[in-house]
Amino acid sequence: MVSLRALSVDAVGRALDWYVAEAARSASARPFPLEAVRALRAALGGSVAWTPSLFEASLAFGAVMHRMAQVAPEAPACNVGDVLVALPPPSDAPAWAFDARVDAATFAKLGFAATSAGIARVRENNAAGWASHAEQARAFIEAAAQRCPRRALAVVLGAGSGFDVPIAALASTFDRLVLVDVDRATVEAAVAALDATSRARIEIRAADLTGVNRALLATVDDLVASASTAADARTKIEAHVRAYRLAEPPAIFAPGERPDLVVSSCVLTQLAWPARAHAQDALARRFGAPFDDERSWAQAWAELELRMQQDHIASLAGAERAALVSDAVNHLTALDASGTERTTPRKVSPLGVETLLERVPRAFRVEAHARWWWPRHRPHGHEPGSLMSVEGVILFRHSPARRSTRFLVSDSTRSGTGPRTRSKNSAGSRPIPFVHHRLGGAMKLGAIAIAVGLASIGCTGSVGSNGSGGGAGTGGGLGQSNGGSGSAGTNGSGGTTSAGNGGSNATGGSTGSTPDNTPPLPGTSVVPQPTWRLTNVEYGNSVHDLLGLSTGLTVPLDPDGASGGYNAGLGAGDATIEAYHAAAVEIASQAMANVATLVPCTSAQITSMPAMCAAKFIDAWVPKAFRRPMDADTRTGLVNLYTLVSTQFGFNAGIQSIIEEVLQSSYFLYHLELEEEAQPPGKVAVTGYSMASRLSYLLWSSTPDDELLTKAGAGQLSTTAQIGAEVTRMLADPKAKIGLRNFYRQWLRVDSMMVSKTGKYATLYSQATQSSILASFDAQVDAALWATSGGLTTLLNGKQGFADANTASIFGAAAAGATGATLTPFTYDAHRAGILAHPAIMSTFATSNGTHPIKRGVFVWDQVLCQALPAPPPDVPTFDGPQPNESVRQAFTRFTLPPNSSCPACHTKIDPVGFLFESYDTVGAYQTIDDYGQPVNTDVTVVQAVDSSGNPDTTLNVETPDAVAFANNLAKDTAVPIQCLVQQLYQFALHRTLKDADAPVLAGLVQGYTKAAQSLPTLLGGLTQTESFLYRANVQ
Amino acid sequence: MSKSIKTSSSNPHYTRRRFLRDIGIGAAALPFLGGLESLYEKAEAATAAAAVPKKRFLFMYSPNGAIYYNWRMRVPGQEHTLDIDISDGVTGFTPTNFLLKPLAPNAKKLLVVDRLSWISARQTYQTSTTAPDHITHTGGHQKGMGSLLTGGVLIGGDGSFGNDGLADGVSVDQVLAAQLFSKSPIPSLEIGVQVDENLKDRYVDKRVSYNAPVGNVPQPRTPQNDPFQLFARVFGNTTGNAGSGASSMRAFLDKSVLDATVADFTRVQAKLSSSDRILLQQHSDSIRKLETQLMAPAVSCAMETPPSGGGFTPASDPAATKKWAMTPANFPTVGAMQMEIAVQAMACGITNIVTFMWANSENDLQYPWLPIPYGNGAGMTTSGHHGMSHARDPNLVTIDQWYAKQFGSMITALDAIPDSGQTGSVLDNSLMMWSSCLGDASSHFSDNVPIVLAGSNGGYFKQGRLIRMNDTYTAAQWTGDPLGPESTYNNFIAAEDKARQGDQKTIGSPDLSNNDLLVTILESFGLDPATNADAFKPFQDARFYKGPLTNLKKT
Repeated sequence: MVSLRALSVDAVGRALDWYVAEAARSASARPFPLEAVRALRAALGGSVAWTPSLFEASLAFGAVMHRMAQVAPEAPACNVGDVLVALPPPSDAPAWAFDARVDAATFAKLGFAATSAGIARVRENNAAGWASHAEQARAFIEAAAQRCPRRALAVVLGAGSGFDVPIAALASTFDRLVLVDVDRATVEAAVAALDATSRARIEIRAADLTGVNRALLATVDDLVASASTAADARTKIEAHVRAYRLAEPPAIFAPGERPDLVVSSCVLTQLAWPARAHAQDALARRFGAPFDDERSWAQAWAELELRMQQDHIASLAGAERAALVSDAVNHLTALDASGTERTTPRKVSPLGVETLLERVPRAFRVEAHARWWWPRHRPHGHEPGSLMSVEGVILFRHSPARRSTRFLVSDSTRSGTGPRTRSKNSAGSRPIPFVHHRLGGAMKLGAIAIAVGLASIGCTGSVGSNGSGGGAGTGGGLGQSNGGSGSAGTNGSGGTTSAGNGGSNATGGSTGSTPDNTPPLPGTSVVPQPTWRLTNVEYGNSVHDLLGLSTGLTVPLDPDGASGGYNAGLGAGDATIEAYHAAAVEIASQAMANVATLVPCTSAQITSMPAMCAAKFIDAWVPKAFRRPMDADTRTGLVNLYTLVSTQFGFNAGIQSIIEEVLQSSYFLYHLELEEEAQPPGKVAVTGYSMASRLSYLLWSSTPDDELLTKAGAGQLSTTAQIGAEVTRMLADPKAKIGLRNFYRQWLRVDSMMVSKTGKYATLYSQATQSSILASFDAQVDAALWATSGGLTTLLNGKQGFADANTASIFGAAAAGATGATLTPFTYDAHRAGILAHPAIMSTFATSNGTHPIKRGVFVWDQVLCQALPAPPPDVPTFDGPQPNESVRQAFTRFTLPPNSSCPACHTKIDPVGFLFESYDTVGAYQTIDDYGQPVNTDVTVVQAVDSSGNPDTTLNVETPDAVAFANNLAKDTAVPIQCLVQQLYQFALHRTLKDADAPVLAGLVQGYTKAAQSLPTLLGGLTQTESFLYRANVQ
Repeated sequence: MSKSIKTSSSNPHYTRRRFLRDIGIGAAALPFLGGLESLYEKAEAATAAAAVPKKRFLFMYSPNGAIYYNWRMRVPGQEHTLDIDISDGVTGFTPTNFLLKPLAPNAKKLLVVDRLSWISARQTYQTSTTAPDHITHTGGHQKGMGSLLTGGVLIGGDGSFGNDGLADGVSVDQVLAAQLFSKSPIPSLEIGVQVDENLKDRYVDKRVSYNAPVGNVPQPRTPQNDPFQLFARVFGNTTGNAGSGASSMRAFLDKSVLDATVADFTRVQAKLSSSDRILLQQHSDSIRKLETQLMAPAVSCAMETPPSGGGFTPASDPAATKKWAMTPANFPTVGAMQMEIAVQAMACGITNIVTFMWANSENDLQYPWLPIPYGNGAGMTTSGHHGMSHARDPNLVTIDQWYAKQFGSMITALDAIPDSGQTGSVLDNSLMMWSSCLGDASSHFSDNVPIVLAGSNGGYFKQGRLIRMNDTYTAAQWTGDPLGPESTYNNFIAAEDKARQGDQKTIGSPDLSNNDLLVTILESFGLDPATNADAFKPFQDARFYKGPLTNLKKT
């Protein structure tokens, strides 16, 4: 059998070759610096000496490649685990001896007695939380046992008291059960509680699973004792710890023993810290002082921990099958004022990586994967609690049919530097749609994580594990898939929310309940969501379509909340209900003007048979408003309401009361998915009426039309092909343009255009002008995005504008022909291109009487490039305005940039982009003299933009004379803006920021849109075929 | 406050017959009207709202903190009789730049609370090692907003900035509304003056009032920015404005429709998951509340026409009216209208609880109606309020004095109205509170937040004082280290001046909190911590809460 290490060495070698070849082919696709890869390859190949500084880079590479596999299926399989297995020895020192014996002194140094007592106390305080974890862990392990065809021997590593391992069940399933733990007494006590039959099958072994603790602790003690200073001792200990290496994976099974199942439950994170704790104690006892600089210390121990963990995983290969369970991510929680427990954004990854899957090397096949959460500590007072995600994998020793013939290094020596062949796989394969910003962030985060001793390799905020594919294939039916508890396939865990540094747009007004804080269902990109209310735009459009009111909605509703950076109908409060009531009264009374068209009766019939006509109205109109058939009780309720009111006030009042009721009912106001929600928890396909609503509110921002409802009722919205066909029809409807408006007005933020300007701009910026500016904006975006090709490119640098008499003066001489009230197309002059300098955007990102380069710069980074900036710190110094003879640009330069400023970190990035737009005043008119009488200078050098693979963006990071040149640069290589558009549209559609599992989905959409020459119908159509759109997540 | 207020000393007894007449149905129709009996009972119960205590709470928010130097009481010792024109001979300070100077006419009714902190807002960063003075302070707009009336930590948790979540508990006004005033015609009124309605960014900055969270979902309450809408809501159901035949039909329709709607919600809820069920339950509870309000008998104390809009008449399109109300130039006009409605609503007993927000935290409003030299040039101000607050712009004093004046005008108005059936004025049986999201504006500390109370709330508070909370120093002790307990008072002032010049040092970190004040407020309304434990619990988080502030009381 091929050795473990050979397989991983092969995997890493292939990955390095592939990466180098791929990077050479596609200059813009590098989530990881090529130089670093070359250095790694040289070091791993032995052509240059290995240095510890490469450790971090190699881990980051493993993390990048692990994620690459989900984005680019042809990328060779390789992950952090492979890298750790393949690493060459850290030094020329001999390998450490493996000795699993435990003596009393070592046992005492490991401090397990106190730890056990502490754990018992914590468990006692939170019995329910621990029990929930124990149940799930046991069920997972039992499921692993069920997979074993032969059941002669099972071994449990780190069995402890067996609290999360089903010892009795294993004892009855297997002929023989061996329990291994460093603490024999605890295991014995647990076993003593079992029945005699079980006990007879159980053997207890005391063993130190690391195999090195005894020697390591003795060395540490010696080094502490012999050192003259704390620093000296620490340096020596660090060097020693870094030299950890076992010649072979730990021999944890008896010679000749090959268990059918080995269980390792929550052992990984327990391996290294006792030694570290002992070392710190020993140092503190001898030298007293606590550490003043922990970095290198933490780094050394983190390396040891990672290597020890990897050796432990490797040791599981000695069994036929392994059930490996371990802590993955630990979210800290705190009590709020009302005593309710909440998760905080702080999290640590005890395992050093975000997902266990990232650590399973090539030698294993993952048979099953599961993730569950449990409240490990309950918070009390100032003490934080923790909510921990645990992962389990069932592993099977991999025996590749085709033995690899190509090794990067020979398995046994470091001398070989043989020629490397270029991977055949890479030649001619398609370009990789990297989702750059996540991958780019990974390395930094990896470094940070190591620095703080968590050794979290590039995972926080990174595109995580395997998501689902980009939606079900066309033509397939949408199956019912109940992804509830336990395990499902080898596709990965959902990972965690990725807002933040990663570059997602962190503007969601998220509250505890919105999906921004909720992980997807395991193995999917489907996130549990509350039932949303209609947003106010959706409400207005729906009323318009249902009642044909030309004036639309005139009663202001309660402002929308937000989720995922876009308006969302969060829970309703008193003010919401009051506004709905007022609106319903107002709308119903307006609707009564067309009662003749609404009620399917002649006036004679109404006079003679009013009750029948009312019933006909109810049967015809209400299901449209409810977007699904009425149930019998609801119909009876409405008929009774009509009767009650019409008896007193006549037919019209009765109809009016029905309209009022419907407009305030939950069927109308909420995006109910009743049929789907009635199904069991888990992932549920959305079809029928619920799908009709999803489609119409995504594509039209309004209620479904008759045809959609008819198809829903006929079961013709059940397959992806049917849905695709329906989308094609809907996109041809003029309502699609209105619907998309709802998106892009929010995306480009013109939904919060200022309502007035002051000073010399006050008169020009009237309400009528504001309406005209918005109409001009809509026309320009519509013309660009809906074009059959080059939509986004045109949006970015197109030359066609639209003006009417109100806006002609803002656009200048080029628009002189626009003298009437209707929008007239015209060609921009040399001072204007694309949408970014449009008056709607310029007047939104400005002050009431001047420009504001910072607002404009931040807007471009956040909304157009999706390279979001962090929120400003709370106590930023202030802008005091230009001094005499100083331009706005000079004032902001003085204020925010070196040498005077303490905040260049963000402003060197923000300011140049903002300055580009200085030639547009607060209403967006071109200017050469700014509001302070100073000449405008827009010439800048853009910096820190990254391309679609996370490398410096060579197209944007150049000297740029003005906003027109910037627009042209954006349009030159649209990969970044396309990715951003897709991301924004996805967030809009799903009311949430991105999750790790969304990455492959987005990559697919990006590719589709790019390939289809930026066709909006292709993008919207693709969106409706994604898993998140096709399914919902049912919760309890 | 030019409108006269019609008050009625005796509540007209609202009979069953009168009720039936008002909704326009005679006895003959009764057999058809299922549910009418319960409706009638509800009306009777509402009429019995005389049981509502004659106490009131008005909270006024003004944005972006203050310059502590111009606010803080420059007298040593724990307590001082409030004499607004404090002159202590300190260089650089004159009464004219004293922030509370416009409140001089109301001094006898004030209780000024110095050196209290929003500790739950301070809590979330705890960056003690990086803070220049090793005090764990910072804070920030959004955390102060969340903490103000809830005494809690933002749901976003540690280190969260503006976008990351709302406050996470019930606010004190809503506890009062639920505990004592649920039978008021309007249990609580949230009023805004140009509070930003775009909630995509920094939602938390735009709300002070919260219902209790449902599940773990915060329940912020929306302030009404449109004075015409507010007027319609508050005075739409008064005998001065209603009672026509049309309104009888309106009442009947509302009742019938809302009953049917609630039934519809109940049916749908049964089909949903538990979290969605809670969501819809909340919605349907709000419908019930609205129905109770709509069905409540007309109040015979009215403001017959909306307050003057400075020449503006509402457009037929309510959206245009709303836009007018949100236009910065109309800020003082809209504010005056909103204040007038607030005062009259309280005087009439239509509501006992008002939260009044002047704009929102981090707004960048300009105040061109004030003598602030906006413009380009030396000594001129280019930025709006938020920018000025960062700059420690001395013109902030002008702005805050304007807000002080607005607060004073409401005090004066409520003090001019005798409280029917009670001793003293409406003000005397009310508690007014003015505060902000931050203490010192520029440094964004949540410590030493300016707080002005007015009214004794029925004799509970002893007015006419300023109290320096939790200040154990006595004049004799002020020697030595300018910031230590041995500091002389003059050194203390010097240190403050230094702080004012940007040294970033605070004058110490008092550990009494808004939680202590919020609990004191509940007690001033007669709520008993023993029998109303649930009402108190949200504010008694041991991290922030020390105990009621007994020194505010009349002894």
